[in-house]
Amino acid sequence: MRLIAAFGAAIVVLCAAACSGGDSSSDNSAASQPVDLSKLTEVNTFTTVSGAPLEPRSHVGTSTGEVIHPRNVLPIYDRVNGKAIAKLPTTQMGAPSWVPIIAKQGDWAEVLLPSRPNGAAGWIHLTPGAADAAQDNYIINVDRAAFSMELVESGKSLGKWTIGTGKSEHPTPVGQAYIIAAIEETVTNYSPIILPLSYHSNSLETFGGGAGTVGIHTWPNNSFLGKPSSDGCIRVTKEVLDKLVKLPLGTIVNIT
Amino acid sequence: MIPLSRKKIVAGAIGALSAALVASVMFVSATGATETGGNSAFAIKAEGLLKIDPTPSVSSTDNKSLANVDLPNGLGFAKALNASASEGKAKASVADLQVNGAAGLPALKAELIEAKCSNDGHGSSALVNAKIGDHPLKVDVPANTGIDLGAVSVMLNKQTKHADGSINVTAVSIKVQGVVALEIASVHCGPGGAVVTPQPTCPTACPAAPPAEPVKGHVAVTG
Repeated sequence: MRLIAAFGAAIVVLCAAACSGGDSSSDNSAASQPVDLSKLTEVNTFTTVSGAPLEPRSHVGTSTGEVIHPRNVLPIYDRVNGKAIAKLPTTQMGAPSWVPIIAKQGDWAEVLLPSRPNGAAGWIHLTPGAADAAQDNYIINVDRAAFSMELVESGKSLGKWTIGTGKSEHPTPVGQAYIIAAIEETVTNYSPIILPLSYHSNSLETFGGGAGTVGIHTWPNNSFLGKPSSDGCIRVTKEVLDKLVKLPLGTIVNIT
Repeated sequence: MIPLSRKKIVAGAIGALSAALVASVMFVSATGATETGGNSAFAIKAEGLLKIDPTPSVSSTDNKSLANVDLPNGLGFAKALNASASEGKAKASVADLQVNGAAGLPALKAELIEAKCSNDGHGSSALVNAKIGDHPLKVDVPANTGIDLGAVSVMLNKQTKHADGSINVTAVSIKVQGVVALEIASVHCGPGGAVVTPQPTCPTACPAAPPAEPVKGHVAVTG
């Protein structure tokens, strides 16, 4: 009995998140139908979303600057009033979920996703109470050919540094990624904190027991500077890492 | 000499491409032919001795992706093809493209080729790590940048504005006189069609995003 009551309550919650405020959507739109979240793939670094619009571009210096944190698990749609293709959980790797908005239409926001394939994006219906929103004016621009990283805030450069990138067999992938979380490592010891990105290696399906997630971190010695030596990760000095870990989650990382 | 298994793969790829073509014939939007409203996009197209119908192709609000396409006759491949159009804009992109220099075509390699347009008449193209033969291409080229390679003429960020205010943008257009015309990442944005004005995300300015708070744990990343 209790289970059925709980399920009934869950349906009501789903509906509130996904189909309230239908003034801009027609009643026939997919977004007005109650969505069964239990059938949708949760987006995280381990999953792959099919049917997502791909936004692999990297636009050095451009961003809406807005990031959102879902207050409840939210359905992700393939387009405005489209088909639900995945769901956005409220946490990622133990940290609150924050995703960057790359486009808006009405009260819909297109956000970048942490799953494969690289560049996967999806649309969230920002009905009242669905998510917290904040302004993140930082952008990290990575230039692989020049082995350099620049941190920009509201268009102003805060610094440019030499980095290391993926070796030729396992290059750092190109595109527009974002910082998923800041992890204080308890297992590996080459970097006190690792910033996993939403992008994955294009050449490695798995690595070290993980999903081939590309990250930003430091290294025990400076042998990586100006060189392609990692298996995809972007390596920075400890000094630079200390600056990057203070950035908000959802900060965009453009990789060219 | 092509091993049998590779022949089968190529034939299979052509078969798959042809199957896709049949489906997409109904939605073909040839560049320049559509002058009245309706946004459309396609990732790759070829006409002439090499024929590839617009793939994937969308017209009106839609979004299609293909993980990869093998070009016929072992001419190369394209990955992560995407074509999307909505009421206000259109975008087409191809990641990881390789066209082998053959059938009159120059060798073309790119990590990303993308074209976009919006209903206000703006269009742009982006080419990341792209080369034609040994000639590297800039990421942002001005509209209608031509490269003359003798019998081959190349136009980058080809933009055509029509009398009705609509715009076509093709990121890479290659013509080999009398042989083939290849287009990569092409979009069309028409006038009309309601542009859905974005609503502000926050009632006034959004508050500043908080700095990350590191959490103890483990994430396996690629070193």
